[in-house]
Amino acid sequence: MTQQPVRRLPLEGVRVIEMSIAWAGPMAARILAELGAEIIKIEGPTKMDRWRGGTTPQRGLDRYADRNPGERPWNRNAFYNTQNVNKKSLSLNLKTERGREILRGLVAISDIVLENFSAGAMGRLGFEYDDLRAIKNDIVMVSMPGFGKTGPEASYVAHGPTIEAVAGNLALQGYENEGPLPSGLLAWGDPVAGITGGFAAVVAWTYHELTGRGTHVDLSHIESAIPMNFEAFLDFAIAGIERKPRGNRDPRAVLQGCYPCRGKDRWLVLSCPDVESWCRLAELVGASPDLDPRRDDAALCVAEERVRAWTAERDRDKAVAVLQEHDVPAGPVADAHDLNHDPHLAARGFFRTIAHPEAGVHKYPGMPWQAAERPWRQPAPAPLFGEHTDDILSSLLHLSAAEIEELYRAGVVAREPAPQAD
Amino acid sequence: MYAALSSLRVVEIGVGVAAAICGRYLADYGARVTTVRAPLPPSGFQPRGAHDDPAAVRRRDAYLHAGKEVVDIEFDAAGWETLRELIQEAEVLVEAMPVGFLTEHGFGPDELRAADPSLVYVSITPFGARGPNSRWHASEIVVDAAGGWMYGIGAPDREPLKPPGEQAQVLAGILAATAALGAWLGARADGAGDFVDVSMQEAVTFFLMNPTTVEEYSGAVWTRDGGVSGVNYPQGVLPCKDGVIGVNVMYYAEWDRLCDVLDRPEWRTDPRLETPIHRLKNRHIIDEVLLPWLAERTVDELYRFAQEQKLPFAPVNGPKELLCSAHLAARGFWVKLDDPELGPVTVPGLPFKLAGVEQVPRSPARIASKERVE
Repeated sequence: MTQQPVRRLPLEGVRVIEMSIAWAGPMAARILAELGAEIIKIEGPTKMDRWRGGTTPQRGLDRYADRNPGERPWNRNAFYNTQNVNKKSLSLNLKTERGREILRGLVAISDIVLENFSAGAMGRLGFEYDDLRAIKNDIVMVSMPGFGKTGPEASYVAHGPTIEAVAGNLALQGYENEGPLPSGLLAWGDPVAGITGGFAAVVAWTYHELTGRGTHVDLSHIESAIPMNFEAFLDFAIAGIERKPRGNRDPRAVLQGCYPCRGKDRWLVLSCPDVESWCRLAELVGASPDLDPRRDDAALCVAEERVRAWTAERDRDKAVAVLQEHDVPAGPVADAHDLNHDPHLAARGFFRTIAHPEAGVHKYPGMPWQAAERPWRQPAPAPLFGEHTDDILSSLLHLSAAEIEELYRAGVVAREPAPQAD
Repeated sequence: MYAALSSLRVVEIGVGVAAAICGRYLADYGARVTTVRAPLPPSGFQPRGAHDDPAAVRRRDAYLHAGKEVVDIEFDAAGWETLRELIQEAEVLVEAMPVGFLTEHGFGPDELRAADPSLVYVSITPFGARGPNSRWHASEIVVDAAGGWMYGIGAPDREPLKPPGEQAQVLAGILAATAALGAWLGARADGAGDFVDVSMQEAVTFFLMNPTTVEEYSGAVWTRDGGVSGVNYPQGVLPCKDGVIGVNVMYYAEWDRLCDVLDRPEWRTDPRLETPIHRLKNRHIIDEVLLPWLAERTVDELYRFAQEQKLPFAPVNGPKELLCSAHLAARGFWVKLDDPELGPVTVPGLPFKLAGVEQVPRSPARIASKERVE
């Protein structure tokens, strides 16, 4: 997007301290960054954000630019560089008293502290909500532990895939009449909590703007995930109906499914929400419009066989276009390459080209909405490890060059991460 | 509900659940939300077909519209007038009607924003309000597929799989609520409202986050892995004494703890198990010990014991287990309502808590009086 912003972004002037790693917390903070907030991301020299991938590659090369980890792999990781656009990186060792003192100094001049440590970790560092409030009375704190800050399982640990299991998504996901099938690499639970965490932080900040008061957000990944499948919960809680995996079907539609197209691993989906759309599809694929796919399994089988025969000999995108012309809801099963080359997403400016000093010039996914009056800014690239340490210490905390150099010597801050796994 | 946003008034209208979820999340934190129920327009986004079970609709409304005012309209002169009056009283309009439908009836963003420059007009549609595919006929599965989600779910040798429920719409609703609050903050600061164009397809691609950058960086296209990580082990759903248990031993510290739990401290330094990829490649070494160990223990024993050791194990819960969860009960998650149509019901509670903010009980939906509708 080349359009220049004409108005202030909603969170311009809001300073956020981000103490979070990997997916959920950084995604929530990224939403605030896109809305105009200044994000200072704290990264420990011995415990940097795990999505930097460690100091040597741990999990394959596909996430490094040109499959080349380079001399500083931690600055070339696709995961980190997507999630952390528009942020500043401050390397800070919170195991040292001086490191904690610097953080206290930053809290005093910040508005929001966002963290996704396990439930007790902030308290052990001396940065629980009450500690932060003692430094800045109207601070907003956003905490995002897997199981929430209270309750008998508050100390339990989780990753996205285990949240998917514990919060009910896994039991519902799978081929029809088969067992649960996990989301794997897509790690479901993390982005659900991340997106909800972004909303939570904006709610808390709005409350601050309306009242002048701070608050503490307690976001449990499980509780934020349950609304994703709210209808399955309502079915059971109100009517005693236990849902099982439904595959690609929807019992409310006349026909719905995913069908193969010409070429390797090319698929389209379609759905006929009503009899009229089914009749249009039937005519197109050469089935009898009198055949009702809902009648029984045999009728469904015949209908799907006709659809499959029609799609299998066609180019996916051309078939989708024909279905759309016949007013049948349909779309391609897009893979990452399709998305990166999708003319529709390109016309909307969804992907944004960003020049990163160590990873090169690349496209990154943008935000899922466009605002007419307050358009997105061209984002700054994700920060190099510790890139803004000197600047933050001097311009915000007014430390001299000599004082900063002493912090480097004492290991309170670092220019490069210590050797570490992810 | 929390009284954090009590000076915000919202009107929502839409097909499917995205607008209602947006209103649900805003109402949970104190916004005064009116939901306008109207007949399904003839084309465009068709989320659930003509065969929706009326009992299921009532259950949905009990959750989605709790704490909201509900106004039923027809798309006739009186109905449009009611909608206009409601919008005049509101700071935010959230609409998820087919692209162009409201504009064709004089309720487009240009007209409404000309009448009230501080109005925040949020539109949620399958492919966004502009762009070559914006008028595509869509349903939930179309957006799940076109956003890249389905390509990543399922078995490698079988068809891609839809995520359960109507999650693209839920995600778009939460993101729209975020956008609405941001735009409202902007309007409060300088008086200018906004037109916010939310795309469900983009909500999905944003949610997935990594696959497009991985492809852009290296050309690698992630495909369906059957839920089994290609870069790590132990991970996935593994059999145990009385069912299956979710396991995700992802980080080195967790691996070291697992080695100790299985009484195999030598694995910590075994070069065959050095990195997560080594552990996957040589998983037979791990399985020989891990699988019999799991087979001797129940889901509940494994969950409690592993968590005591800070290992991320998890049961594969369904709604029944979560409704009975002592942890969620202690946190007061589930909410009981006396719904006007269904009587006493239990529905999902708040997605997060706010300390120090006044709390008010979530009331059932309030069906507006006939006089208001007329």
